[in-house]
Amino acid sequence: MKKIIISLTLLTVMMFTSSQAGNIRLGIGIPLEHERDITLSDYGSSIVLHKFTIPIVFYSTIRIIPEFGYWKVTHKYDSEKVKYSVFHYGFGLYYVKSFENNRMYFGPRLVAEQLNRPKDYPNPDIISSKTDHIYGLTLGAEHLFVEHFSIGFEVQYNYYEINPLERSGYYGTRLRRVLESVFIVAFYF
Amino acid sequence: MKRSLVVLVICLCYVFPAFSQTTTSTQTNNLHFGFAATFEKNSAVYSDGFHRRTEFGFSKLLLPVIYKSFLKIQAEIGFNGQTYRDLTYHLWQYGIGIYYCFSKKKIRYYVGPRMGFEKLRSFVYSNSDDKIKTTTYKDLGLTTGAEFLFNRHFSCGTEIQFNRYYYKISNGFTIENVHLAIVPSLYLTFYF
Repeated sequence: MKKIIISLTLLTVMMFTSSQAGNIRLGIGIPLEHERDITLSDYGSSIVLHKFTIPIVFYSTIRIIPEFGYWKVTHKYDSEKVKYSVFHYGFGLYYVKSFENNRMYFGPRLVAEQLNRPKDYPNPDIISSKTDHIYGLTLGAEHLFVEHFSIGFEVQYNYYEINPLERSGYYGTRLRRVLESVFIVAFYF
Repeated sequence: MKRSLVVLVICLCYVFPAFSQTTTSTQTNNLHFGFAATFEKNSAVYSDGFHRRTEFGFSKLLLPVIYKSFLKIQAEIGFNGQTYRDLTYHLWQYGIGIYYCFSKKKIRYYVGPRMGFEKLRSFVYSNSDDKIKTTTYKDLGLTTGAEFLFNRHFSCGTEIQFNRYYYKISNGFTIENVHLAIVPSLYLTFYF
C-alpha cells in the first residue's frame, strides 16, 4: 500500500510539474500485451499482472516511460489467511524521432518485479520475498490522433532473469529471452 | 543468445536509417519501408512437450516493404527462448509473404502467398541420450488482409492466414503431422 501511495504522489507531483514546464509533456498509457503468468507459490497458483505507464516527453526528442503494476491476493485455507503481493516497476529511456503527428522511438528498458509472501509460509523452503529483473531493448511508434490522444505499439526484445522460489535454489534462476509486442493507448495532458 | 542478438542487430540496421531521415526524402521514394508489431491468437496446432508457445503468446516483428503501392513484401521474425535448470530451448520463427495490393481511399487491401518456418531447438544438459532435439515446423498458405492508413506513416491492419502446417519429429520413432488452420492477427505498422 505504501508503494502505491508513493507512486500516486509522484504521479501527482509530475502532473503539476508538466503543466508548469512547456517543454515537458506527461501522459498515461495503457499497454495491451500477451498474458504472462507470475508464479506465486509452490502450489502453482499464478497471476497475470497488468500495468500502466507514464510517458514523459522532453523537448520532443527524449522520452522516459516509467511503468507500474501491482497485484495483491489473499488466499484463505480454513482458518489460515495467506497474502501475496507483486509490485512491478521500471522505466525505459528512449530517443524519439517525429514524423508529422507520428513518433518513433528506440532505447533500453529496465524493470524489476518484487514478489512478497508471508514470512510464516507453511513450506520452510519457500522464500518470503524475491526480485526478478527484466532487461530490454524497445523499438516503438505512436500516432497522435489529436494533441492529447495516441495509439502506438512497441516491439521489445526482453531478457528475463527469474529467481527461484525455493530457498534451496534447486531449480536455479530461469532465464528467458523473448521478442514481445505491446499495443499502447495513451492520453497526454 | 548470440544468434538472437545478430538478428536483432540486422533488424535495427533496417530501422536505424529512419532516425536520420527527413520527411521529404520519403515522399519521392517508390519504396516504403516500415516495421510492425503483431497481436495474434496462439495457433496452438502442435505440441511436442517442450513447446511453450502458450506461455507468452507469440509476438512477431514484421518488416514490410511497399513497392509502388501495388506490391507488399513482408518479412516476419519471432523469437522465444528459455533456460531453466538443465533445459534450454529456442523457438525461432521466420516468414515471408509476397502480396498484391490495391487501395481504396485510406484502406490498402492485399492478398498473396506466405511461407514460414518455426524452428524449435532444445538442449538437455543432464544425463539424457537425447541431448539436442530440433523440430522444424513449416507452414505455407494464403494470406488476405487490409490496413487502414491513418496517414503516410501509420496504419492499423488485420489479416487472416489460411495455413497448412507440417512437422516431423524423429526421436527413435517418427511422427508426421499436417494441420490446416486459420490464423487471424491484428497489427500496427509504422512506415518511414
